[in-house]
Amino acid sequence: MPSLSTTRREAGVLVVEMERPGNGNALDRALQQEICEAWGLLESDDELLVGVLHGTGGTFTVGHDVAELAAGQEGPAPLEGLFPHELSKPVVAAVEGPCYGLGFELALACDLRVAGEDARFGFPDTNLHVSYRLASSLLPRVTNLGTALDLLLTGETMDSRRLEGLRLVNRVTAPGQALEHALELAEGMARRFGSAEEFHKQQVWQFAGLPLPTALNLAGQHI
Amino acid sequence: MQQSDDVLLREIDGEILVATMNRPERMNALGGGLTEALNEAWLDFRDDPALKVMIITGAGERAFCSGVDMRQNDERARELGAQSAQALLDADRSRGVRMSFNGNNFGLWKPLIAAINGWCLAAGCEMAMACDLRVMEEHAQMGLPEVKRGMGAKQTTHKLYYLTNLNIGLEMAWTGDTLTAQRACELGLVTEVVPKGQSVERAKELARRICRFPSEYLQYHKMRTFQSIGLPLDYSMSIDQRFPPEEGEGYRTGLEESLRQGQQVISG
Repeated sequence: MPSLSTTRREAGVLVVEMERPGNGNALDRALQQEICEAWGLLESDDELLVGVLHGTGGTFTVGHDVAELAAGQEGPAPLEGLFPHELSKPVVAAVEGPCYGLGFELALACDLRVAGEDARFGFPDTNLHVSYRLASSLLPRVTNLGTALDLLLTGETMDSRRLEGLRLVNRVTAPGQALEHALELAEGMARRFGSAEEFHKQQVWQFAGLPLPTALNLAGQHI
Repeated sequence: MQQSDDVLLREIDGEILVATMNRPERMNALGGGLTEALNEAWLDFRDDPALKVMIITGAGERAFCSGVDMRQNDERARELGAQSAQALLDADRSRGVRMSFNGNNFGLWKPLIAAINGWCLAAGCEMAMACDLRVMEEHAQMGLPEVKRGMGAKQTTHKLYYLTNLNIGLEMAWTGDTLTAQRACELGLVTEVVPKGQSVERAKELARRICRFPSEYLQYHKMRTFQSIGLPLDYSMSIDQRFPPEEGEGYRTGLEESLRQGQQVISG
């Protein structure tokens, strides 16, 4: 049974919903593969402009599927294609409830995050010793060095309000309202920008971390 | 044997080293051998495999650390005939005393926590910022007042950019004004604000939580976070150190433990 559904909405928005009831939408290999395919669809279909990623049942996702990792001999699956920051089209994460581990990385790789007030973010499983490569690169850029180290080293979780103050969450909504607000945001963006190129998404992501004079030079060439 | 009049007290609590700067009569200013004692403590902590996390705090209620001991500085400046603070720093450097607050200078990749129990100023503020996490008591203030004495806060202005952003770093360095604990927390400069007298206890709680992760996991993520800074994003994601934690000895038993404890939160 598939654990991902994709729905087309007006204005070129694709809603991607993770659904593994009873499993906290844990990211097993099958679900990771389905997410990669959904990004492929978003990227290749000219009528689609913006993605929204959401988890059903009041949970974004708890991260790796620990049971699957424990049962298999190989380590975590390779992550190529899973993270949507590599797409040319924007993706908005609509987060409710737990958003942990690999799931937190997935939300970080989205361009914007809308979160219900009771969403929680972090790496709380102190027995899960995997490398969070994307988070250790991105958290210091999205928030700051201290917050990145706090989340990664202590495993303590933070809520939406705290992370709104630290610039990681773009909009906080009442519990249960994140998807609705994310859709509004995504549809507004899709209407304002008629094509993927106009978002200049890849330039922004590529400029993050370049020496400023280099970034300004490159920007000049794009005008 | 540690004496209660040592300038730096060390207490070991399991895998946690608590170092307390102990010159309360001088607001724990760096003088009287405290800089040297701190340098030694960083190194001992780095090299002791039984220690995982270090907490640094100040004795008494008034100060975490008020910076370099200016009285001692002035005396030494007279002795040495130094005309400026810079000349004094140069003299120190020639003696091999380095103000090495930044643990990374020593290749120290274990977590450091500052328990900021009072005034946290100048070199004291720099030391707190060289730690990975900062817990701050509600009455404490932090700042870089060097500019008010015609000195620069050279060690920290670059790091403030990564801990806050460009304009806050410049504001602190150029005005010398202090931040309240509340403001520092809003800016993400400190992890959390706690009531007076409770920073060490809270730092220990965080340290115990950190200790639940294996050393390799902690070192990997601290190194990776520091080393990715300032690199182009796609490059920083592609680089990797040796020994990612999933190749560590405890990876598999950790998974079983996670399942057994139901530590992975499942809902929905």
